[in-house]
Amino acid sequence: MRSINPIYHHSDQMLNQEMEWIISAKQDPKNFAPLYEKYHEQIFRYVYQRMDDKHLAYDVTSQVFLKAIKNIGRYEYRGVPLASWLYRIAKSELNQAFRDSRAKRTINIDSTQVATFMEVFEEETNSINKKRLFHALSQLNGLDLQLIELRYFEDRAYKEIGEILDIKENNAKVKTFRALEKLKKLFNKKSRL
Amino acid sequence: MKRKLIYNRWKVSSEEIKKQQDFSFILKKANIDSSWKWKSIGFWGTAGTTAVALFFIVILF
Repeated sequence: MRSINPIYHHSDQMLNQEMEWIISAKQDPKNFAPLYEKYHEQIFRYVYQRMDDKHLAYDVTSQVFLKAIKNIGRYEYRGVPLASWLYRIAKSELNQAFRDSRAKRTINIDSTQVATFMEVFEEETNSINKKRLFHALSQLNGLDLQLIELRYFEDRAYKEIGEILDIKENNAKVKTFRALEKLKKLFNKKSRL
Repeated sequence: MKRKLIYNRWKVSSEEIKKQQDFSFILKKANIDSSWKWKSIGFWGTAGTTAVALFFIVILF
């Protein structure tokens, strides 16, 4: 079973506290400060995971919070942490950066994640299989790559993935399973070449 | 879209990320951007059209 992200998953008390901050930020943007401090790091990590330029990742993160401050008046509480809304803004800002060619879409993977995939694929962790995995990852479509990243690289629960991608938890589970199947297929296809 | 793959990149520390936090800069930028609405073509276009419409209303009635 996967660990629960304590910054994302909130108790009722934490949600109420956050709601108070949101109400006060709607009255005065200066009151957005505690929300900025709370979420800055995780939004930066989300952005930087998907690009190669650290300074640009900081810029995009700032842009996310700038948009959030400007649009907080329109934010509607849906019983989930503000993070899901911030992630959606981050996703759109990232796509804009890729479209403008300011940033290059990057897949960041480490040896632990490679080992996890090899375990799932019931394969040995070696340099050949590593290359096969890298090739398979580069062949995935945008949504499937996102699902794989959220679940297997960032270790997020399906509930959180659903909220970030604005889909139901169960749908997130099904789509992630299908994305993994596609990845496995691409991995095995490469081995037959 | 062509993708770049990076293997085992150095993890950025929480301290480093915290050092980059600058809420006052974002707040300042948010205020500057909202003040730009007064200088935008959209604003003056709407204001101009309204002024012309009001002028004709006053003249005709």
